[in-house]
Amino acid sequence: MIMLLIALSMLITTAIVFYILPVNEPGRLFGLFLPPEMEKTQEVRQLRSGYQKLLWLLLLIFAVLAVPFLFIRKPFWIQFTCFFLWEILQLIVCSLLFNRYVRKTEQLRAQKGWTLPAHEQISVDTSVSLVRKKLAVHPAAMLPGTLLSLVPLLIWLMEGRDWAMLPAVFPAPLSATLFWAARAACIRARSIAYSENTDVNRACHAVFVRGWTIYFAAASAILSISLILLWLPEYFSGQYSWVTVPAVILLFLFIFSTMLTVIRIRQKQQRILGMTDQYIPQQDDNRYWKGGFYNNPIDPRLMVPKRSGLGMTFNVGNRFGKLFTILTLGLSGLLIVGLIGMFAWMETAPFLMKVNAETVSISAPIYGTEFPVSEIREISLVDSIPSGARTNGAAAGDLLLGHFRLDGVGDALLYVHTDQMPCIKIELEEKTIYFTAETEEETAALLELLKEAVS
Amino acid sequence: MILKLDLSSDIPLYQQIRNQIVLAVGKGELKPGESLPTVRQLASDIGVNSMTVNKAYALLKSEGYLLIDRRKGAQVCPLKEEHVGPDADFMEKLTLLAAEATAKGLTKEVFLAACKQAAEKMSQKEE
Repeated sequence: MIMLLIALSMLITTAIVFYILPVNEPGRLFGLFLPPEMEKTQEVRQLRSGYQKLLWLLLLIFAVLAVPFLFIRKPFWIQFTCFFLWEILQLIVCSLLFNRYVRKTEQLRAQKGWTLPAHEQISVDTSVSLVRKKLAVHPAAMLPGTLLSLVPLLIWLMEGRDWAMLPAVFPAPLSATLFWAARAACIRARSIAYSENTDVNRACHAVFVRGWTIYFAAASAILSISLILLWLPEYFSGQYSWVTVPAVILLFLFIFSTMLTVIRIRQKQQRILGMTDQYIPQQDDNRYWKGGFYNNPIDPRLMVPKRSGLGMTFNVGNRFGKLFTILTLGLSGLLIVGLIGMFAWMETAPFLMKVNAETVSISAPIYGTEFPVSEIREISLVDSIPSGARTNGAAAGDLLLGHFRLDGVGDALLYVHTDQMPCIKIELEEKTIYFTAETEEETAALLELLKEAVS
Repeated sequence: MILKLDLSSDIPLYQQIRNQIVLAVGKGELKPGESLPTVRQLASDIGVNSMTVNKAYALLKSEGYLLIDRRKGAQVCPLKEEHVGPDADFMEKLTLLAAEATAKGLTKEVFLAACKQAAEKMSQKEE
C-alpha cells in the first residue's frame, strides 16, 4: 500500500514537472524565450499539444509498468530495486522527450527569426527590489504551520521522553523549516525586468511573491497536520490507525495545491505581460543545459531555477556548485545502493540462535543479542504477534527485525519472518523476544533446546 | 530603473552598475532623493558578491551621485541649487573623450553635434 502511494505520488510529480510546468511559463516554451505575440500561433499550439499527448502516453505506460512490481511481496529488496529503476527510467525517458521538444522549439525560433540579445544580459528592476519584501504575506501567516509542526515534539516531551521515538518527531518541524527557507528564497529571488514598464514588472512580481508566500503558509499547515496524523499511530503503537486515511488525503491535497498554485500564478503573469508591448527579451540559457545539468561559468549564481520552473538546481559551472552536485548525487547514489544492500542482507541472512547451559545468543543483521538463560521467565510457541510500532528496526514484506513496541507486551525484539510462523516467544525480565528459524522443524527443535536449558 | 548588465562584457560589473546608475540619473529615470536597493538587496538580485555592488556604490558616492545612509540605504543626491560648472575631474574625462574623437578622425563640428545629441537625451535642469 505504501509503495503504491509512493509510486502514485512520483507519477503525479512527474506530470507536474514535465507536463504542466514547461508549457505554461509566461514568455517561454520548454524553457526557451518566445515573444508574447507568438504564444497563440498554430505552430506553438501544435508543439504544446504534441508534447502533452506524448507525455500522457508515457505516463500511462509507466503506470501500467508499475503494477507488476507493486504486487511483488517477497523479497522486499527486489520490489525496492524495481521501484528505483522504474523511477530512474521514468526521469530519463521524460527528459529525452523534453529535450526533443526543446530542439523543435529552437528550430521553430530559427525559422521565424525570433531573435534574442547577443550577449549574456540580465535585466533587473530596482523598484521591484525595493518593495519585494513588502509584497510577501506577513510572516505571522507561517505560524500555524510552524506551531503545529512542534506538536509531536511537545507530546514526546510530555509522554516521558522515549529516546527511541525521538527521530520520528523530526519530519514535521523539518518540513516547517523547509517552508520558511522556501519563503525566504522566494522573497530574495531575482527581480527580473520582464518589460521596460516598471508597473508591469511590479505587478508580475507581486503576483509571484504574494501567491507563493500564501501557498507556503497554507502548505506548511496542511503538511504539518498530515505528518502529525501519520506519526500518531507510529508513536502510540498502532492506536489511532484510522487517521492514516485523512493524512494521505491531505498529502494529495498538498501535491495538487502545488500544481494549481504554479498554474494560477503563471496564468496571471501571462495576462499582465500581455498588456504591454515593451517586453524585454529574456536571454534564455538553453545552451548551458546539458543532460539535466546547468553549466554556465559566466553566471555568478550558485543555484538557478530549474528549467521546469519549480525548484532550484546547482550551477555546475561554479566550482562550489560542481562540488555540491557531486556530493548530492554521490550521497544519494550511496544511500540507494546502501538501502538496497541492507534490505537484501536483512532478508536473506538467516537468523541463528545458539543455546548453551548459560547463555542464549541470537545473530542477525545489525540486531544481534545475547542474554543469560537465568533471565528467561517463560518460553512458548505462538501463532501470531500482537500489533505495535517499530521503534528501531525493519518491517518490510514478511520481515520483522529489530526493536518494536507491542500492544500488551511492551518492548520486544523481533527476529521473525511472518510467513514462517509459529514463532518462539521468550519472555525476559525487561523485554520479550520473538524468533522464527528457517523452517518449522528447526523452530520446534530450538524450542526444546531452550526448555532444556531453562530446566 | 531597469538595470541591464552584460555578464560577458570586458567592462567589470561594478563599472556597469555605476555607469547605468549615472545614465539613469542623467536621463531623469532616477530622481534626486530617490532610493536605491541596499547593497545586499541588489547583490542578491543580480546574483553577485555584495562587494561588487559595494564597490559601485562607493564609487558613486565618491563621485557625488549617491548618498549612503546606514538607516535609509542609498539615495540619489539632491540637485545643487546653485549653477554648477564642470569640475577638474569632469574636464579631464571630456578632454580625453575629445582626444579620442580627434584620434578617430571626427571633426570638431561632428564631435559637438554628437555631444548635443547625447545631451538632448538627458533630462536637463532649466537655466
